[in-house]
Amino acid sequence: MPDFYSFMRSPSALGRVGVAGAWLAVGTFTAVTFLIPLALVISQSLSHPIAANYVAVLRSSATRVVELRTLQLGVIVTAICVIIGYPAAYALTRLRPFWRSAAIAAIVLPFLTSYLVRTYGWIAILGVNGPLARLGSLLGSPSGSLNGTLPGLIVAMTHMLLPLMILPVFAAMNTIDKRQLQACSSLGAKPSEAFLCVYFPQTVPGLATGVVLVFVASLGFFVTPALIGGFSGTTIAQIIFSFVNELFDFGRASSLGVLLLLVVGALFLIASRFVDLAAVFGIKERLASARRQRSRRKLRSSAAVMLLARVTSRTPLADRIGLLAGSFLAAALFILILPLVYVVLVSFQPLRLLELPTASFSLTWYRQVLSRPEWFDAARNSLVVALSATTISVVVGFFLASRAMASAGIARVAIFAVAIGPLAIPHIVLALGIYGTFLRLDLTGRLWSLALAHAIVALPYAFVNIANGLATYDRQLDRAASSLGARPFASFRRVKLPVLRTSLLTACALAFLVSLDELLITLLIAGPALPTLPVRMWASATSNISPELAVVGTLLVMVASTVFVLTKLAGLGRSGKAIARGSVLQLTMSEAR
Amino acid sequence: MTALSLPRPGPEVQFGSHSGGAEADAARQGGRLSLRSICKNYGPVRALDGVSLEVEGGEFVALLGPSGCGKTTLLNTIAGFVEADSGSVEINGQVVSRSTPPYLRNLGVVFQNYALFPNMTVGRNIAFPLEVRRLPPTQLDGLVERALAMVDLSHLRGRFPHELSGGQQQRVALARALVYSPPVLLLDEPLGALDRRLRDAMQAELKDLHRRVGTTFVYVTHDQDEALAMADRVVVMRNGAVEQHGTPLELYEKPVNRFVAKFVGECNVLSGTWITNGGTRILMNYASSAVLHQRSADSSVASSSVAIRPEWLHVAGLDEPSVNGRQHLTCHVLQTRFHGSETLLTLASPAGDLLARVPHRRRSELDLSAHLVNVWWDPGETVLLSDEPAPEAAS
Repeated sequence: MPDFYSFMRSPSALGRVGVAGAWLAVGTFTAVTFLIPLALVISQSLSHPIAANYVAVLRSSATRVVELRTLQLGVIVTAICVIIGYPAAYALTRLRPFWRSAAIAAIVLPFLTSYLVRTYGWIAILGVNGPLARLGSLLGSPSGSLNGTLPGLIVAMTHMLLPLMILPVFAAMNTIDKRQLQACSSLGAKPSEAFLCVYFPQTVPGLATGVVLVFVASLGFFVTPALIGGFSGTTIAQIIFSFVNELFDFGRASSLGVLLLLVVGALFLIASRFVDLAAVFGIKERLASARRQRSRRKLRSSAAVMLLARVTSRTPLADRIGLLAGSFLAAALFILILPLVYVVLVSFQPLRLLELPTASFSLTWYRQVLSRPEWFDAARNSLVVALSATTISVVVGFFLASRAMASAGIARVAIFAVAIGPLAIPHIVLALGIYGTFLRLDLTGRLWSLALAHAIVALPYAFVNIANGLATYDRQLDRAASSLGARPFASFRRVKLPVLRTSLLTACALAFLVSLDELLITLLIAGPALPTLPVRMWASATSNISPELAVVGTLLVMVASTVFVLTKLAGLGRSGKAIARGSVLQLTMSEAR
Repeated sequence: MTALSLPRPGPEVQFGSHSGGAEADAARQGGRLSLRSICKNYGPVRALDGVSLEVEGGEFVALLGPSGCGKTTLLNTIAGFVEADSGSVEINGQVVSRSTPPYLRNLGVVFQNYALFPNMTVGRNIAFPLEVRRLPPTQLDGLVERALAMVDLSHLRGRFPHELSGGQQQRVALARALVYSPPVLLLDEPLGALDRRLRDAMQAELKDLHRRVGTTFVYVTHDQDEALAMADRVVVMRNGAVEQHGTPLELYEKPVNRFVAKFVGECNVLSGTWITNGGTRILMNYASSAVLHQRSADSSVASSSVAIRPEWLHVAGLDEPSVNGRQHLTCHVLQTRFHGSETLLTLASPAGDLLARVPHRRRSELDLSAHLVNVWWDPGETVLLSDEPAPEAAS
């Protein structure tokens, strides 16, 4: 019988104790911040009689209008994203490597920048003094401000969600061997037939991914509709927020949340017919290792497709596909970059009205911001929370990703569900659950509990990147290190961590930026007592839209670009270009808020 | 328990003693390896079925077999990557407990894809095993330099693995696994990822390296050419068990069964029926009335099939006098494959299809335009194979 001392010395026993301890910590963390909140939302939605809340939110004409409008908005925005995003992604595949990287950077960078900042940019663009209104009055049809109108909201939301469409579609297109189209041509297929019968079917998983991500994100959207939508653009997320924040009505808020969950769940169920759900979130490793891929042959060679191909091949458009796609890409890039440029320009002009173009350059608003300590307090809070949340989410993400890679079957699916779940459910539902849970556990209004909440929001981003790093990690390296005499810890520190450096850095960068931009949960559980930058900006944006916001926004754009460039540079380092390209594609994951 | 009593290789272990290059020294250095009835099951699958093997110090042993035969599992149990269910591994007479982790075994392993650390330079890769053994930097540098010189890569010390060719990476992997002078070097299909030409060059290099360092080599491969060309002894495995082991020559000339005959080199296997004719027993193939094998009547054998190597077949044109009244088969030439120094003929004979190997000199005398040739063999030269319970088409 081994005595206790030798039991502890034996590496496998020590390892087992360590793993058990880690499971306990990670389990508690995910339970408090994700599983219990989710369960709470479901249980709170039920009442006496059991479905009273549901009846209330479905019967009331006010909420029903909002529900329908949210769905309608989602459908419209998704459709526009498909129409612009698909050709734009195609044009992206035809660019030379340098320009392609530049274009991807231009797509990813806005995506990494604060939602509030970009919404603010759109407010300025759409406003009375913005370029659109001026163009209107120049042409003799003064339209006034587009803020508070549905078209304005749709443009802004398209801007927010377009990257979620372009990037996965591009990833799918990029894996298609160009010689396949040459083969089609040599076999006698016209370009349009080749596209419809060979090219398009292979892009369906990417397209399905894009549609799901855009639609799910649009359902939970809060910031943009609240600031731009006006009364005509109220969405479910806002109603849920005001139910809990103003009326303290958790029952009806939760029942709306559950309805959202049901719609999202149905959507994922449909999407899973076209694409592995792990792939939706950018994970290279498949969820179910040996699952039979449901065939998507319906589109393949049916008579209708051939007819369509024949008809389209006669249209003059068929010859100009490249040019056409290129102009869609240009339009997409314009929509994506415009608000960032606008925010930076506004911050350097002296007037209170967000007026552009202006000849004068001024640092007035920078001086104003620097003279106000509340911005510094907010920045400090944000930094502390973001750094803690990054640390927690990367450590937990690493642990879960390692366990997911080592397990199979139901355990693997469960780990994926917990690690990806916070991203897959609408952000407002997560916020609602966390708020309720933290209220009961008396965790609100504290910096460390805020960091925990941010960590669960950032966890999926960390998890996906680390899981992808581990999926390509050569496990022989561990064996090699061990055979050469390295103990497990030495092997981990000297081989595994350095080899996974790029993935870890990307994970840290994304987790940091996500936490830096988190608004909803922070508003609910920290509120004015612990203002972070987004909370301060939110207050400023809802009360008086001052160019101070543009200054803070410009600084945040700079932070995001710096983090982005640093991550890219670190990835480029010694480990070769392939990894850096991978890390950009890993940014294709969704942002469901 | 034994795992803990096994001393971790520390600085007191002599490093780099192979650098002297003395052959006598080399023989002393290689570790003796004994495997005693090692078993390993993966669920219902029996990966290793009581494998026993003795490897002398300094020997070059190849584990040869088709994929799934258990050769890599065996290597992994020796290395400690896989824990055997039962059986024991001894190195230099000292038992290595089954649960001893790889990093306490002090063995060298060369992986098929080399498993070089991509984040370290060539020099750092080779220094790694010395650093984790806490070797003082002064000693370390010289050893790394000597290991690099051993594989002729001193000029690439500062490069990263991805900047090297496949052959160079291979040599770095060898240097890394040998720099701490392990008693036994385990090689898992190390040439598998190289192209044909490079593989031939590396075979010569590996054999030379083995001679110089004198470490015991255990080499896993599915390529019989590699095994025969390099190893002192070849162990043929199938279904988790050893089918036959011996020198390459023994395996080639005296395969014990159909599997070994077919797997080690090309081989014709013919079967027949024993008849006694006066003082001799004759194995006769009835379809062709050809004598496959003959021996004295007092010897008793149960087996009824023989192996005939393609080069043991004599091939002659129909009109050639060399047949000279010998018993022969007239065969149809189905296919000829020209390989430069030799030509392979696929022949349809009354006894079944045969493969014949004709050296180039002989081929130029042979008239193949008629598509018919005479074939004969020496019944004393053919090798009796033991009958197998289930003749599988494994080869």
